[in-house]
Order: sequence, then structure tokens, then C-alpha cells
Amino acid sequence: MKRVLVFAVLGLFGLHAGEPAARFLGATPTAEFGTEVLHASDITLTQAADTLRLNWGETEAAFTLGFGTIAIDYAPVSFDFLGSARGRRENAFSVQVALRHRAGPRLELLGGLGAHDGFDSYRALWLDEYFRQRFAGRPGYQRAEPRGAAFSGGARWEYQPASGFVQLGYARSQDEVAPGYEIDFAGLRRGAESLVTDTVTLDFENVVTPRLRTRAEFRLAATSGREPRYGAEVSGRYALGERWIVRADAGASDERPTFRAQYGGGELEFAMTETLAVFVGAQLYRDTGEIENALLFTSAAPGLRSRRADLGVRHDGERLAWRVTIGTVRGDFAATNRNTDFFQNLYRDRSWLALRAAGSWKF
Amino acid sequence: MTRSLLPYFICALLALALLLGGCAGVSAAQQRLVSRPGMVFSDAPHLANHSALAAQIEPGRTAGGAQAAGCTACR
Repeated sequence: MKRVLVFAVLGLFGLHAGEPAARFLGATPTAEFGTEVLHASDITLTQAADTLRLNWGETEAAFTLGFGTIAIDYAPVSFDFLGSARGRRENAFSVQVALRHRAGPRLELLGGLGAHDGFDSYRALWLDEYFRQRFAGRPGYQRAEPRGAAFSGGARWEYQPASGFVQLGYARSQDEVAPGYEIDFAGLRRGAESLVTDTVTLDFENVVTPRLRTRAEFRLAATSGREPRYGAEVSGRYALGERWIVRADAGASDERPTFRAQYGGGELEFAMTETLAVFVGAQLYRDTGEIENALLFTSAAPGLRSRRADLGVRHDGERLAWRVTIGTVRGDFAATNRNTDFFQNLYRDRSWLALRAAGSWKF
Repeated sequence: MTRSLLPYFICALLALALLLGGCAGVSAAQQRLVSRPGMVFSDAPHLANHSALAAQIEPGRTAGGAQAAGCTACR
């Protein structure tokens, strides 16, 4: 947690260090930072990112460094005689470069490269600890070292001046994940260690009326060893007047044979002054649980319902802009069955405190 | 929403997006309200509603990827 805060503060400190330069490498620079914390009684997740954005006019590049932590109080179920309670904490680092180039009056080309090192979720860390306590030292067990890399490309076309945009994107990522294990008479068997994901996205953004802006997104993701996952999301921003704004979104994703998720929510914003706005929002989410094909034993998540409430404030200055949000998320899992009872403590209901702070500075 | 309805939902969404964009052009001069910071879709962190950690507690919000990490039997 401290390192994340230091990381975020360094981002802010950098904004004020020395005389701000109007140009850097011949470009107009902008510094951005974002910090996020999710805290439950037995799990704390943090994520921070600092971005330097350089704009040369026709071309823009964004360099991002990210740092995250996952801290869990691992607790085995009472009938797991091989397990023991243990606190565990892991760090994750990431780096990303994103490019945007205006290739014509209405056409932008997009590209990106990125890499990360470390666990990407508390669930992966929890399961890694479960397997470590069970199988460490056995032939075939390997210490997990999750990491990955990705690249992306795309194009954005302004098909209607200032009011109609369509964006097509493609991304490929390769992740070395913390594998799961199964044991039988043949010995220890390791699950998939490397996953490749191809993702195609299609976005439409439109200014429909002088008060309404909409976005619709379609996603298709194919991960090795899995059926394709389809997703769609629609978002709207409506100006009720000079001071009031309503934001709403709804989405769904679907993966054979049984995974389905739906979510949606809204936010109401009030502009207190020209530069200061407050907002309050709520979100609902539900899914059917993770896909699994095990006959006897599985770590797949059961169905989940969650609800979120947020309160925030945003400042939009000419050079400095920031936003702070505080909220709560309540997640309720469906009961585990006899195949997943060993993960009752992983898939237990939790109340999360959610904090987010983000900002940008134009030099 | 049942699984069989999702393709129709997606088609309707795309058709609606194309229809709205195709028939309702709003000139830049009329876009004062929709250009305010709270009205735009942006990657800037103080304007984006995106949460980097949300996918960990609500996995259906992501398009896919390595979420199956640590799982032998689930895909």
C-alpha cells in the first residue's frame, strides 16, 4: 500500500518539480496519474499508474508505468487438513506504450505495446497458495511466475464531422499464468501455463442530439482452450441542463457453454461551479459463474451478484484536472457445491471499500 | 437475458448505433453541452469511468484473457 501511495505521490510531485517545460522532445507533454484501492476484511488490492503523454500534433505517444499489490489472508476451510492460514502479498509491475497518429483529416491509426509481471488477480494468488501448500516439493510442481505481453492496433474513423466515430481494434496478448494442479495415480498434472488471447473490438460513438452522446461497443475475445467470449456495452451521457448530467451504461457478455454476465448502472452529476462537479452513482452486476468441465474437483467460481455505490468529486481546471471517488461494493456468491467446497473462503461474500484518485497536468 | 437473446441484442445495438449516427448529424457549433468534461468518453484517468481493479471482483466486465489463471478444470 505504501509503495502505491509513494508511486502516486511521485506522479503528483513530478507535476510540480522545477519549472514546467512547455515542450519536451519537441512535443507538448501531459502527465497523468491514477491510483485505486479495493479493501475487504481479508483482501487488499491496489493499483497505480503514471503516464507521460507527448503530443507532436499529428502524432501522440503515451508511456505508462504501473504498479499494483495484492495482499490476502489465505484461510483454508476447516476440513482442509493439509492447509494452514497464511498472509501473502505480491507485487505486479507493468509498462505500456500507446501511439496515436492522424493519417488523414478523418482517420486516426492506433497502436500499442505492453508487458506485465506478477499476479493479475487475488483469485489467482489464492489458488496458487492453495496448490503450493498441497503440492510444493512434489515432482512436477513449479513455482508460479506469472507475466505477459500484448500488442494492439486499430483505426478510428470520423465518419460524420465531430459527431460520428467508428473505431476498430485488434489486440493479442500472451500470458504465462499461475497454473493449477491435479493429482491422480499418474502423478501431478499441471494445467495450462500459457494463454493467448485475441480480441477484436468495434466501437461507435455518436453525438445524437445537442444534449446526448452515446457509445456502443462490441467485443469478441478468443482465449486458447476456451470458446469465444462475446460482449456488448452501450453507454449514454445526457445533459439535463447547464449543471446536471446523467450517465448510464449497460452491458453483457456471453461464453459457451454457460457463462453469462450482465451489468448496468447510472450516475448523476451536478456542476457546483465552472470547474467543480460532484456525482453519485450505483451499479448492479450478476453472472452465472465460471465455466468448468470437471467431474470431481474444480476451482471455478460460482455465480455472483454484486452492487456498487459511489460518491465523487471532480475538478476540471485549464491545466490541472483531478477526480476522487469513494464507494462500496457488496459481492454475494452463490453457495459452493461439493466440487468447490475447498474454496468456500475464496468465494465468500465480501464488502469492499473502493477508493480512486486520478488526475492530469498539462505543462 | 438468456443466451439465445444476446446475438439479437448485439445486432440491435449495432443497428441502432449506425442508424443514430447516420441520420442525426449535430454540428460542432451545437455541441457545447456534449463537449463538457462530464459528457465525453475519454481515456484521461480523471474522466474515464474505467476501474483497473473492477475486473477482479466482477469478471464478466472483461472481454476475456487470462482470468482462468490458477484453474485446472475451468476454462
